[in-house]
Amino acid sequence: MPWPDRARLWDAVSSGARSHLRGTGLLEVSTPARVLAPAIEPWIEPLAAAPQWLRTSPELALKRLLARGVGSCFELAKVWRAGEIGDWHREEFHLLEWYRVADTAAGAAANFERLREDVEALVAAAATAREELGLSGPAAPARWETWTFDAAWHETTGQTRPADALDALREAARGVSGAPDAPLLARDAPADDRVAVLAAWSELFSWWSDGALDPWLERKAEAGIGIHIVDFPAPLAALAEIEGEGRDARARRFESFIGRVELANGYLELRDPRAQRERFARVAAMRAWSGLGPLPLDEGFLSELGQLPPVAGIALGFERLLAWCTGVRRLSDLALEPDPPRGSARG
Amino acid sequence: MDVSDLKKNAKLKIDGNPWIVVDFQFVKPGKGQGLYKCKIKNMLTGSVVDRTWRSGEKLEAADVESRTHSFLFGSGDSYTFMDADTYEQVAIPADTVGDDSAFLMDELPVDILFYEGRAVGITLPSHVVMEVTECPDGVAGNTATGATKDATVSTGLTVQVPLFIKQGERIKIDTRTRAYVERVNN
Repeated sequence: MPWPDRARLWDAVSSGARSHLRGTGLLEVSTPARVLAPAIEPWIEPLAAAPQWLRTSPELALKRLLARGVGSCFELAKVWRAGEIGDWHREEFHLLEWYRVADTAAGAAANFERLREDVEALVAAAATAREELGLSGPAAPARWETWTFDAAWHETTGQTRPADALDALREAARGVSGAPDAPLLARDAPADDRVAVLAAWSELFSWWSDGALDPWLERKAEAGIGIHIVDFPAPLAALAEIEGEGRDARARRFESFIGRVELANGYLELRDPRAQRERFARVAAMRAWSGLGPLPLDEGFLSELGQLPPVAGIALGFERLLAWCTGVRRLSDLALEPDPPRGSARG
Repeated sequence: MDVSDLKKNAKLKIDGNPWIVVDFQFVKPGKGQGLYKCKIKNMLTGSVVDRTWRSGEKLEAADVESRTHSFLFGSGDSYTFMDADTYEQVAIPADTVGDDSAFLMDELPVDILFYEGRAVGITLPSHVVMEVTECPDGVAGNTATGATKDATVSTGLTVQVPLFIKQGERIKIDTRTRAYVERVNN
């Protein structure tokens, strides 16, 4: 796409998003890009900006603002993730992240549903903005469907979603197209069973997405349908609340897709500092087992998490929204700067 | 090497063989493990397969390099080439050179692939110019478009050429398809 069109598209779609979020009561804020401690995630690698880090998302900083009473807010945040280079990934990109605060847990649960409407509205606004610029691209989905993770798993594999246990996950991998013959965690699994299950789910989720979910999402998109997948397996909760126990446990997390394009990832936010500390520790153990470097723990975030009001939050890959609405197949086709040579941006 | 260093044209050692990455795609669902979906080509046999690696996996780089040599002579069971920079000579078994021997004429520049110091294959220039050493005259009156005849070039290779080509003329040949491309004027 010509450079002037790329610039006008960025301006129009970001204006449309800001106008939707501000118009529904959110305040725009800006938090530091350089942080003392990035969120500890299984497969998200920060770039170092010694002696600090470049943020991989504004999540921890925004939650600290929420804990201080700022209220519902959003940030169009520049973020960095080392090694994420591909048609739909760049090491440097923008997350549009927003939080809807409530007075009660029930209010936050309603806001969690509301986030899906936000995604749909932002997608529609992006398509309109693109059209007003006279650029070509796909129409916004005629409708959206919400599937539970379990229902989507069954629909795409014909199998019941595996239990959160290593044996069940290994068995399930054999039924997922493209997954390797060697079972998950071919070498010795981590000693801590919960760490092993986290590692196995993180991997199985990728094989399932690539081999079974994506083709199904494509067919849905061809039929004009966008998809939200809600209620993830508890081990994939990340920073979301978990409801229920045992076999009924589910993470209050959702993802929104148009075809293969994974646009957004929303949570009913976990507010329990002790549970959050345990999860960070589990992820840190999994990272160590996977050979990934240690990351500092954000004690400042944990100390303020107890004051977090009931809230639902979400991050949307902004460049993916731009790419989807113009129908390009690579984020680099819309970037305002050509990609650096691969490997030159290592931290 | 770490799997995150994968890129197009990366050379890998897998099961003892050198492979080159010809296509590469990175996918990663939210919070999931990254997958590196590659098409890789066996640098010895040319066979292409799909292979996917996961974030965190370790790979072995293949010790592979390509250096330009010029052809010196053939001795029946091997062909000898000289490094254009160091003048070092290397003899490559006829089996390794295979059908490409049909293009080997004096001083022809070829790229020789070395795997762990051993010459394992040659890559010809995409086109070569060769002299027609034997070729029947065109049949008078036969001007049908596309009509061809056999022509033998200096190495003994036979190619199909247009009827106007005469013995002693030089022609350009595509080494991949062995097809005549054009007549080359001296």
